[in-house]
This record gives sequence, C-alpha cells and structure tokens, in this order.
Amino acid sequence: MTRHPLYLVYGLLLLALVGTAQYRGWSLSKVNELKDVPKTVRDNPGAYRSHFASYFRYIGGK
Amino acid sequence: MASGGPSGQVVLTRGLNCPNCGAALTMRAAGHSLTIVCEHCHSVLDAKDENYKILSHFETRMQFEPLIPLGSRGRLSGVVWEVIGVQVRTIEVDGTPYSWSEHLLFNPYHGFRYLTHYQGHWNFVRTVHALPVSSMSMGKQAVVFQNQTFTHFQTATAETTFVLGEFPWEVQVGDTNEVRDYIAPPRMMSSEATAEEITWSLGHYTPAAEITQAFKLSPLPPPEGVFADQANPYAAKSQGIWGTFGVFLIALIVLAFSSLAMSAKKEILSQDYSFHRGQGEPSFVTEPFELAGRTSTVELAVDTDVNNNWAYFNFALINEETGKAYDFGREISFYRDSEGSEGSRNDATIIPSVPPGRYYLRVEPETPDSAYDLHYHITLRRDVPVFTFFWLALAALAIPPIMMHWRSTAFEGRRWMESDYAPASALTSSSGDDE
Repeated sequence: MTRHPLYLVYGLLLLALVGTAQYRGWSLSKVNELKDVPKTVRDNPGAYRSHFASYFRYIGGK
Repeated sequence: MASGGPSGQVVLTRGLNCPNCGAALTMRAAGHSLTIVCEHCHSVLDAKDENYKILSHFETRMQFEPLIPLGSRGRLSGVVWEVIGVQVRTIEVDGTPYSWSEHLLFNPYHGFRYLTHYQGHWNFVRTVHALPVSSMSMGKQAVVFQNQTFTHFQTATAETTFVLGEFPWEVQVGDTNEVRDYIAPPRMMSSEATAEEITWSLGHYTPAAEITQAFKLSPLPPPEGVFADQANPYAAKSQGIWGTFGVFLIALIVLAFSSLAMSAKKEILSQDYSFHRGQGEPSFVTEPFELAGRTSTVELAVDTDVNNNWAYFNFALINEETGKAYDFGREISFYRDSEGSEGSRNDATIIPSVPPGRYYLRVEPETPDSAYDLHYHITLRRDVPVFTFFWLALAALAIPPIMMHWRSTAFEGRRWMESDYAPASALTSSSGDDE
C-alpha cells in the first residue's frame, strides 16, 4: 500500500467523505430548500406555492 | 600489461601495425582473440598468426561510431569490463533493414560479455553453456532456463554488417545466423544458429543511465519505444494498486454494513389518503411530528393505485418552528397492456440532511382528469441509509487501478507489436522495429 501513497491518500479521503455523507445524511435527491415559510400554511395549505407546481411533466403513456 | 586470463593464460595488451595499411592497432585481449579488425582499412587479421595474416577485407559505406569507444572500461555487475570489439548486425523485415550493435566486453578473469544496443535500449549479455528446455507459454513456443520460462518473441536471420576491434571467433562481414529471441522481462534468452552449432545467450535489460555511469560516458540516446525484454514499469504497480483497491473495497463494505446497522430507519408517519380531482382544495397538511436525533435523512415513500395513468405530488416537509421547507415533486405513472408494463405505482425519495425538529408535511396531489379516484399511502422514515455514495466511491476508487492496468496492458501491446506475434493490421500499418 505504501507503494501508492497518492492512491492511499485519495482512497482514505473518499472513505472519509462517504462516512461523513452517511453520518450527515447527504443525498443527491433534488430537493429545493426554502426559508421562512409562513406559519399560516399550516392553516391554509392552498396558500403555499410549491417550487415544483409548474414543473413540466410528461403525461403520455404506452 | 600482463595478467592471468580466465584459464590461467597470460593476457597481453600490445601494439602492432596493420599489415595492409600500416595503421597502429592495439591488441587488448591477446591470447584470447582470434581476429582483429583494422578500423582504418577494415582488414580482418588473424590474431593467432605472428605476422597478423590478412584473413579478409570488407568494404563498407556504413559510418558507424561505437557509442562506447573501443578500449573504454566500465564496471558492470561488480566486474570491470573493457570494450574490445563492436559489431553491427542487421535483419530485414518487409524489405526494411533494422540494425543493432553489439559491444564485445572482456575481462581477463571473467571472459567475454556483450552489451547490445538498439534505439537506446541496452542488454548485458553472457553466453550460457547449459541448454534451456523447450516448453510452451501462452500458446507460444518457450524455453525454460533456471526455472524461468522465456516466451518466444521473434525469429530472424541476422547478418553481420560491420565489425571493429577484436573477436574471439573468426568474424566476417556477411556472416548470417538464425536468431531466436525468448523473453521473460527483464531477461531475454537468444539462440544463434549456424549450420554447425547453436549458441545460447542470456541478456539482462540494463538502463542506459547505468551504462553511462559504468563507462563514464556523456548521456546516451534515450530509449525509443518498448524493447522486447524491457521491464513493464506498470505491471508491479498495477498489481500493488489492485491490492490496495481490495483493502479499500473491504473498508467500504464494512462502512456500508455499519451504516445499515446503525441507521434508525424509524417510521414517523404511515397514512392512507385518497384524491378526486375537482372536489375542493387538493392540498392538505399532516399532523405535526417529531424528527429526533442528529441531522440525517428522511425517506418519503408513496404507494398508489394508478393504472394506465399518472399522478403527481407536490411535497413540502416544513419545520414548524423555523419555517424552513424541503420542497420537491414526485411523478408516479404506471401503464400496462398486452405487451407488458411501464413505470411503477410506487415511489420513494430521500430528503437529505434534515435537522431534528418538529415538522409537518404538505401534500398536493394532481391527476390528469377527474375520471378516477386516486388512493395512495404515504410513509415517512427517519435516518434511512443512502448507498449512492458507496457506489460513487467504488467507481472513484476503481479509476486509478483501471488506468494503471490499462497503461500496463498498453505497454505490453507496444512490446508485442514488435514481435512475430504482432496483429496483422499492425504489420501493415507500421514499419515496425526489430531488435
């Protein structure tokens, strides 16, 4: 292993990154984070405008 | 100078004059040499004859200057050798001649050795007296010598095209031999066959820098291409790096299983819902729930009864206290006919790095028409392991070993490109180099 010190460091960094990602709950999911959503949404859900509400989607089928 | 020879003979270095042109010559291995070639008129003289009878004479247009001058001394393998002769040998492949030089080395106690040179590649060669055993290796002819298998590389007819200095045999320009090379890098066994005998020799690839240092020369030409018995610098590295990769792979698997075992996967919400388009406000919110523990993932899974249709969900996981929302949309579609099915009725997604706190979920379903009732089930789980990064890390870890392996394979490809086993396309598209 000592014959490839760069690979050793590279691999250890990758393992550390994976460990951190796992511990911190990282994911590649596409999620939009919003701040300060008004508390009134709790009582009036229709007042909330989702970021994905106008998202184009394919509605065809087989 | 007089000293004891390999068989106790007295070795003399003495001066003489060429009987043909009168040029001064030096005998460096007197008593051992059979012929000496005058470097001025190219007369081949009988070194055993007291009058240095002229055996033959050759005309050459070749302007050849030995890279290691005659009379040079250098230490190789712990022995001091003196260059006493040089010959150039040539083979012809597809009408193109390829030449290499052989420097004859002499030490009165150790006899003769050769330093062969081709395009910056050097081999330190000695003749062997034990016969190698015929064998097969990788579907090719091979010989086994000193428990090492040498694979056949090339067979060619070599012609002596230039000679200079002394030789322990009756050297002649125009002499031809069938030369067979067998390799086990960094070593090479060669047989040279004449009508009368077969001589075997064992060469060891020697870097040019070592030759430069040994003979105290100015820098020699750098190597071009890959030589037959040149050690593959990537082969050992490739093996070593795969070993390291194996260790990392085990560590990654251990990490994955640890992560799986330590993840809480705690179910936070599990609820059935239904939706019919056009019946009032489609969006609603769930009862608040607590996400405990450290900042971690939340998995949202939706199971529906869509059939030959689609449904779309706008979700927002909203922190009741801070107002921070994780907003995302998920489309679910499932179509089926006599030819098969497409899509899925279920979906699951991971919301990354959600801090602990009190949350609620806003759900806004959507369907294409009001013709059907959508029934669905939502499940929320806290601290669910994500394996995407393990796969990405595995791929990233594999890149360096794969690249090293590729370089090693490419090196071997360039080596064998010069052999009798080169692909036919290579033989027609490149001029090819031969030893």
